[in-house]
Amino acid sequence: MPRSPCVVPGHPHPRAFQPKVGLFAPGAICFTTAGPLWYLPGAILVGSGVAALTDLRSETSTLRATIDRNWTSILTAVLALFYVFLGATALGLAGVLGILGGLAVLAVLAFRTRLAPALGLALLAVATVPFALLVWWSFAVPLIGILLIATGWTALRSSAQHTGKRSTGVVARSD
Amino acid sequence: MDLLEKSPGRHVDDQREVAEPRDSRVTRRTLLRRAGLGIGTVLVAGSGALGYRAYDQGVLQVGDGPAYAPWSSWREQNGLLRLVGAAILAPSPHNAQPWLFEIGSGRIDLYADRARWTGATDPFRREQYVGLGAALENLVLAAKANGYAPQVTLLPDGSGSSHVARIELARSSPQASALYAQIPNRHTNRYAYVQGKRAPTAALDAMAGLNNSATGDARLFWFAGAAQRSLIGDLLIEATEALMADPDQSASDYAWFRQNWDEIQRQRDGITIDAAGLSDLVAALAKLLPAQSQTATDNAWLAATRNTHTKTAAGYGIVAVRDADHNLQRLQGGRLLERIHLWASGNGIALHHMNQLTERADREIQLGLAHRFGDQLTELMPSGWQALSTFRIGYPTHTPHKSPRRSVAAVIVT
Ligand SMILES: Cc1cc2nc3c(=O)[nH]c(=O)nc-3n(C[C@H](O)[C@H](O)[C@H](O)COP(=O)(O)O)c2cc1C
Repeated sequence: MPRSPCVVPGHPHPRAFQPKVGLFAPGAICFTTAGPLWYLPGAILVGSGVAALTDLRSETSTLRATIDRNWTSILTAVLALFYVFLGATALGLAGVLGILGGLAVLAVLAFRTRLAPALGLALLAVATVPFALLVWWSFAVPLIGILLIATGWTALRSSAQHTGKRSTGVVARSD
Repeated sequence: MDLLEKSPGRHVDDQREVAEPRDSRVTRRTLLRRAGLGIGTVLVAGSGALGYRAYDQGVLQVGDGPAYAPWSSWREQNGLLRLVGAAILAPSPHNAQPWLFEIGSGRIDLYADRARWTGATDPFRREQYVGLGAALENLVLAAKANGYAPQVTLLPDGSGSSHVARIELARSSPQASALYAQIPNRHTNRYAYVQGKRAPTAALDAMAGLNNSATGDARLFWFAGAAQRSLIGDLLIEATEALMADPDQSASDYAWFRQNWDEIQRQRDGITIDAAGLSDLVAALAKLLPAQSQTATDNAWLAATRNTHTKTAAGYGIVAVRDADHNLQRLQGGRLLERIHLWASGNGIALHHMNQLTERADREIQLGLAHRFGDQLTELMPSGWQALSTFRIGYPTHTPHKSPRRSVAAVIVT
């Protein structure tokens, strides 16, 4: 039986981390302004996340390799969150464009393996440019916008490379 | 664009990278790649810090927040509070808002808040009383528009008292005026004005005709010819230099300059970066960078006076009275000044108060210096008239931003 084309030896499947993040993230949200009623479920979720991460200790090297390989995507996601944050503080249309733009970049990242890099780049530009243009004078937003496109583009290309690499690996291993 | 990662088509090498980590070529490549990622990470972290600073300094929230709420909420106030809501939107020296209001049955009393004073910049409180007159004019216009017949008694407890005015308010039919409609639109415009575009004589005459029985003897004099503009422009630049060279005046100016967003939202007074007439980009950079020193602020103000304010003024107006030391006449002059500003605002004309000349003239008297600017002002004015307050007008190149205001609740005394 051929191995899954997504698994490269020495690299854990990215989805290995999803359950942990899936426990941590909502757990952390429970401790924000959601209210004290949510502290108990928050504690359970964060606790489970910690337990799940302890499991991962054995996979430290693979964790590091995955983070390493996805670092540009992580940076892009962080920048997209800055965009959402600044959008949330901006007034009127600019605010809407900032929030939608940041979320659209996160969506592009989520689907990056299925997008042609050129299409991904176009989507990044559509998501990023309007907010940056509308508040061009703010200096911070256009700067973050430029970085978003640069890191986003690098993440898209890197992802395309790895996808190509994996398919080559499947051919090599399946004979 | 490929800033941070290696280019495509290198995956064979990459595999070697995994299989033979000690290969020196691969190590160099790995190092380069890590350096790229490191730089990218630093850039992202830096932009995060910048983004946070932009949030913290309200770069994207110009004119928003509680400090600016009085500009929209004043009409929501009930009864006499609405009149106070209109009064506090008046201009005041350095936006010190030196007023307090006491609401009684069928009357409002206006008091000077003597602690809210601009010190060496206004040594004899001339500007403080002019600002109080402006607030009184807004209150009276709002009273008429909201169905009251205001009866104003100025300085009911004597000229030296902080009891500035008693306004008796009997019910009457509403009389909204064009000036009243401009109360929320009036802002001091410190931007450049359209170069070479002069105000038509009809507009200058209309503004000069805004005096009425309530403004007493106060009159507006225009200095709109080329030679007069040049003369007053030069004097204003020299007076600004003299202000900067006077440590106390410079310090009292700086004390009212607000550069921190939290401070603006908390104190809700003073001159802000947004109201300083800077371009949007320069204003954003000024907010992102550390606060400017007193000297840097002085230099920027002098440069703006020299290169922007005086260069693009279409004309100067001076509100004059018979005796500028008299608080009652100052209040009347302040009422006329506010009527002029409201009229200008409703007619697409920008106005910027520029009182360096009178500020220096008063300081000369206070310190016993030679009357350099005082004498110049005397020469400028027709005999029998004393300059009270000066401004420039022109056609706007930018819509000015709002300045902060303390809430109605904060200025009511019981
Ligand atoms: C009596 C008086 C004197 C003023 N002098 C100056 C001045 O010399 N320079 C200046 O830029 N603004 C001056 N102003 C304008 C105030 O700074 C301004 O009214 C205040 O900051 C509030 O802003 P706003 O008028 O846009 O509401 C003066 C205002 C008054 C009432």
